[in-house]
Amino acid sequence: MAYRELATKKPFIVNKNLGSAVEVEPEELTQTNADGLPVIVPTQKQKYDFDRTGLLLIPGVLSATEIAEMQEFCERLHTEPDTIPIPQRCALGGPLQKLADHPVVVGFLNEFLAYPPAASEECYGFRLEETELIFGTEATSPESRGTPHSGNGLFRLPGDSHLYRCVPGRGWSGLTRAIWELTAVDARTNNYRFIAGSHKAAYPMPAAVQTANSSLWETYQCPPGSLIFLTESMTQMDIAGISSPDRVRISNLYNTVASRWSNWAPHPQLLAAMPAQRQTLFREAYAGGNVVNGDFGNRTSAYPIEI
Amino acid sequence: METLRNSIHETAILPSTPCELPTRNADGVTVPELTLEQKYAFDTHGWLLIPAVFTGPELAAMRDFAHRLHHNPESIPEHERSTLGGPLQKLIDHPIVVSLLNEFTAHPAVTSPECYGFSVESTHLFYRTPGMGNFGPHNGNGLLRFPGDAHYYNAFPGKGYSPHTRIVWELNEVKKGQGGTLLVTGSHKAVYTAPVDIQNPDSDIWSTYGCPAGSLLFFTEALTHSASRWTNTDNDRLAVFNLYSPVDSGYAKVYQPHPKLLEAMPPMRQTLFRSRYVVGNVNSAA
Repeated sequence: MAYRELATKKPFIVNKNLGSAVEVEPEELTQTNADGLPVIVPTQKQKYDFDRTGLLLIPGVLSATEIAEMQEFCERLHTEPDTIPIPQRCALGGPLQKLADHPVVVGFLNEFLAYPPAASEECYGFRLEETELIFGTEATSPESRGTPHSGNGLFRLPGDSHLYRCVPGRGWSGLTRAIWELTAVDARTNNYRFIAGSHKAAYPMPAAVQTANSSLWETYQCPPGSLIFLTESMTQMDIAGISSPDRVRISNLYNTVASRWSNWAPHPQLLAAMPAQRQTLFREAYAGGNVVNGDFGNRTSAYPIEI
Repeated sequence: METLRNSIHETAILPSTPCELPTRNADGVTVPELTLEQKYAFDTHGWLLIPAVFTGPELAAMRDFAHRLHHNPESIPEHERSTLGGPLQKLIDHPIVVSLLNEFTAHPAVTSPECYGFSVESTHLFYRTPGMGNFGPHNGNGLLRFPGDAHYYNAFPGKGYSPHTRIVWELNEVKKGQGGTLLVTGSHKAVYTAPVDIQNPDSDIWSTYGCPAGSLLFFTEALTHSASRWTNTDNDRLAVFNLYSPVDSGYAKVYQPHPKLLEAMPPMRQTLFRSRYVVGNVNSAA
C-alpha cells in the first residue's frame, strides 16, 4: 500500500517573553546522550499514539545481552543487596544506569517534556525524579494498589506536575513515567491498568469506572526489554490478585527542570561517578538559567535567535 | 412536564436563566439520564456503544422495513420511503439518543421541554453485503479546531460538546473486525497529525466493535473514523446512520423529509427539521 504524507506545518509554541514563539524544535534539543549515543527521535505514529491515549509501548528496545545483564543485577539487588556496593544499591546501579538517559528516552522526553531554554548538548532539558526496581508483584507503593488515581490532566491547574497540555502539533506531558519491562508480560500477568484518553477527560471519573471490571480499563503486553511511556496525568491503577513473581521492571519518573514531585536523590558517590551530562538529570529544580553551556538568554528572547 | 436541568448550567458559562431540556421524547417516553460512566466514556474515547437497545418483535419490524426499503421500495408509500418511515422513525429521537444529544450537542437557548436543542442533518440506510465498504480515514483532531464546518469538539471541566454527532443503529449483528465502523479512540482530542499508519486498516491505531443486532453506536464526527469492508458472510450489514447538528449550523444542507411525512410527525419531532438559525428558533415548529 502506498502511503501519502499529510499536509502539516510547525506548531506555534509560546515562549517566555511577549508571546513570541519558541524557535527551537524538539529534535534540535540534546542530540547525543551521556554515553555518546545519538538520540532517537519518536516517529509521528509514536507521538500521535501517546498524545491521544496517554501511553506508548515500544517493544523490544533492549538487546538480549542487555536484558540478561540487567536481570542479573536486579536479581542481586532484590535478593542479595549486600553483594552490591552501597552507592549502587538502587535502580541506577550497574547496567541499569544507562536506562535513565537511553537514546529512546531522551528523544521522547525532548518532545513531550523538555524545557528548551534549559537544554543543551551537555545538559538535558528535564529531570529524573525517582527510580525504582519493582520485583514481582510487590509494588513499592501498596497504598495505591487497587485505587484509581490521576487523570483529567488537560484541565488541571498547575501545582503538582500531574498535567497535560497541548496545542496543535505538540503535546506536553508534565510528570512522565518510563517503565522498562525486563521480563515478558501479558494480560494475565500485568497488574497495571489505564484508561486511554483519560489525561484529557473533561468529566470526573464516575463510580462505575472505579472498579477493575469496567470495560474502560486497558493493559498492555510486551516482550522483555520493552519500554512504556505514560503521562502521570492519565487515570491508572495497579490491580490486586495478579501474581507474577518473576516479573522485573524499572520505573523511572521524569519532571520538568523547574518542578519537583518527590524528594528522591541518588547516593552522592553514585552521582559524582556519573558522566557530567547524566548528572544534569538530578540538578536542583528551578528554571532560570538552569542549563550547562546552553543558550538560555537567546532561547527565551522575544526576538529571532542570534546566530 | 418534568424538566431536566442541563448540567452545563452548573459548571460554567451560561445563560442567566435555567434551561430546560426535554425529559420526554416526541412519543412521550421518558428520556433516561445518561450515566456518569457513559458521559465519561464518550468524552474520553470519542465513541460509545450501547448493545441490544432493541430486541424481539420491535427489532424484527425494523429489520423487515429496512429490507423492504432496500430491496422493494415500491412496497412502501412514497412519503415513507426513507429511514424516517414506518417503525424506523422512532429511532430518530429514541430516548437514549435524546439523552446523549441533550448532554453533548444541544444548545440550551434553543431548547425547551417541547423542542429539541439539536437538528437532524442526514439519515440513511447502510446495506452492505460481503465485499462492500471502502476504507477511507477522515476527520479527527477536533478539540483545537476552529469552528467552521461543525467537525470540532470542545470540552472544559465537567462538560463535553460534540456539535456533529453520528448515531448508528446496527439492525443486524456486527462481528468484530468484519466490517463495523473503524474508530481511532481519543483522536477527537489529538493534537498531532495522523501518522501514515492511519492509511492501514490493520494498524493498531484503529479500534472497532462487535455487537448484537439492535445496538446503538454514538461517535463524535470530530473523531477520526472510517468505513471498512464488510466480510461477514453470515449476515449483511443493515444499519441506519443518523447525523445530528446544532440548530444554528451544519455541514450539509438542512435535511428535509417528505412534506407529508413531516406533517404527520408529532410536533416535537418536527423540531428536528426546523430551519437553521438561532434567534427565537425554539418551539417554532411545535
